[in-house]
Amino acid sequence: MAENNTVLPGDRTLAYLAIAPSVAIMILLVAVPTVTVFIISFQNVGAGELSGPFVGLRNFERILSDPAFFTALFNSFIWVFGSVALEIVFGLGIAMLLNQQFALRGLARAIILTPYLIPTVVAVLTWKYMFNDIVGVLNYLLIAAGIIDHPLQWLNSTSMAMFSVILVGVWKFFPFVVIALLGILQAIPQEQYEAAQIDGASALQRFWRITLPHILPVLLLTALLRTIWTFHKFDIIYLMTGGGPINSTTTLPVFVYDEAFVDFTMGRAAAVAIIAFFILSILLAIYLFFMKRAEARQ
Amino acid sequence: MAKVEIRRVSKSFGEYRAVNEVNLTAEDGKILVLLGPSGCGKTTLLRMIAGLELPTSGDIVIGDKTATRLHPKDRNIAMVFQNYALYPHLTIYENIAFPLRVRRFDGNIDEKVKWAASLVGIENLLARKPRQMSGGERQRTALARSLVRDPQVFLLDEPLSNLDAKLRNSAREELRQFQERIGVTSIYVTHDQVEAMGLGDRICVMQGGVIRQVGTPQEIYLDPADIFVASFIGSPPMNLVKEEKRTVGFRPEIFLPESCFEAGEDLFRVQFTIQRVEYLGGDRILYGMAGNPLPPTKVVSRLPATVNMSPEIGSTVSFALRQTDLRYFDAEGVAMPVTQRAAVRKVANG
Repeated sequence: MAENNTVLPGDRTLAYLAIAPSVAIMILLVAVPTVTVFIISFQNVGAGELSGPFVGLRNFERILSDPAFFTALFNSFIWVFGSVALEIVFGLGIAMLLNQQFALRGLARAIILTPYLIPTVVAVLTWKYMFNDIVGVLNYLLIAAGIIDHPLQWLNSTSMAMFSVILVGVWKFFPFVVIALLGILQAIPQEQYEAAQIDGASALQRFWRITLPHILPVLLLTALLRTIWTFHKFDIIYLMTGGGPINSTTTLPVFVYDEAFVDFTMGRAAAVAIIAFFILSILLAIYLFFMKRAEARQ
Repeated sequence: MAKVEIRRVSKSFGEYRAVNEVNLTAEDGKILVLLGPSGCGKTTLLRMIAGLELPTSGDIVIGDKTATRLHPKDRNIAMVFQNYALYPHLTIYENIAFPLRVRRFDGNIDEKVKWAASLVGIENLLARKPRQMSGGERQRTALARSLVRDPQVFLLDEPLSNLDAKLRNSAREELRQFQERIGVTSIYVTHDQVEAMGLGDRICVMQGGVIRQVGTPQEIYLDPADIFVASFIGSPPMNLVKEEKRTVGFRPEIFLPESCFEAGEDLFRVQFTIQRVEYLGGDRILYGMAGNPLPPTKVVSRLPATVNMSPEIGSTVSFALRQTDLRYFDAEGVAMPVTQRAAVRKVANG
């Protein structure tokens, strides 16, 4: 109730005034485009137009009867869950290593972060050179080590392209997981491990029974953020493969791009974006459910 | 049950020697208190017994097994940490069951947990989480968790230091009764001399990584082995008056106005100039200057309320103590043996 509020009514006006510019920018940059996309998804809009004739659900019907859409949807799931799972496993492993006491730990922590700091375009060009089937260093090393006997088509075969793209994504973004988890790992009191050690817990039991419950809320939050960002990721895939070969790495954002700027069917592109938006919302709801439960257990 | 023997144990952290050639035995079924100021090596010694630190040299024997290099879980010890180290995501029940679960205990876990909880009186709090408990309840949980698997040795690292002063007194008493009931060899680390005196069957006073004295609370208090122990134990600590080649020591509570003693007692008389009086209710603490026959030195007297005297600031009063209560320390600060004391007294009295 207002009369219980210690802030004077005059102060509240000031507060509204203070946040008004931020709210205005938010509306301009987030709300307006979102609403626009919603509207466009029910219209027939071509290139260079912002609106067109109303066509009802026809864009959605066209999309949902297009096998290419379902390929893109399937690819998106492979891309997102493959990347996020590997980032979490790899990131957690590295974070636990960096949480140990050893000489030059600070330096090691700094080096681990470099992939995250390298601009995507630079990283992608470097990886493309490394993936090259004839002059690439990856094939050279694997053949020299006797692991493979003929060069692999990293980016030019439909069976390997997605794996290669995920590899680059994981390499680029696992440092984020490392930073997030290192922070929470350092917050676990050392006595917990010592008490568990005396109580008779093995290293594996200490991980399952102490480390994991402690870090679980942060782990889930990190996975949630990585899922959102990976779902939206466009630049790595587009720069690496352009969605090919034969759509084998076309995820939903790449599909939207093709609809909008290759086929110039803005209405259909908007419809795909809306569908993607709902799919992501469902994913987020599942994550939030698990996060709430993990936090309640703390 | 088992006794714990520490044989010439040292521990260095780089250049720093935290524990230096310590020999010590914790008797079977008794409480041994490691007492000392912070940084004296008492916690390091306890952690070596627990197996959380490896000694740089020396051996630790638990029961009749050399445990120096054994993993903590293979020593059959239990430890209560200063902040209890309860697992925050587990209920009290699961906290107590933890040692049984990780060791794949094949008996009735439920029965054991309830037995341990009832020993410390928390059987109706088992569904709670640690953060819903008071400090005293957490401490009991830590105790229950440590005793649930019948350890040979109990290690306690300042378990009362996180409790408030009032609770600490009752918790100390409970701890003592509890130890008597289960009769497990216990090693207890503290910097609090009241805790040490109240709990310990024997006390080991440490300073700078070495043992200064081991003995019963009475021995430590009445016959401190050196000037450090004399000034560390007692509140206020022993009065120490430096003479030419030795130091004279006497406790504040036996240093009283001459009128308090019966005629014919063998007294050592000191002129005492009162400078400040502290009223504590039960006692009064008199701060002042000792005079003839001692060299002028600041000393303290602790007058019980039963002594009928109104001390005037600035006045010089004849104080005294029994000759047998005097303690002498040599130039190195080491206490002189009883026989030597008598000889010194004779010389001093001419």
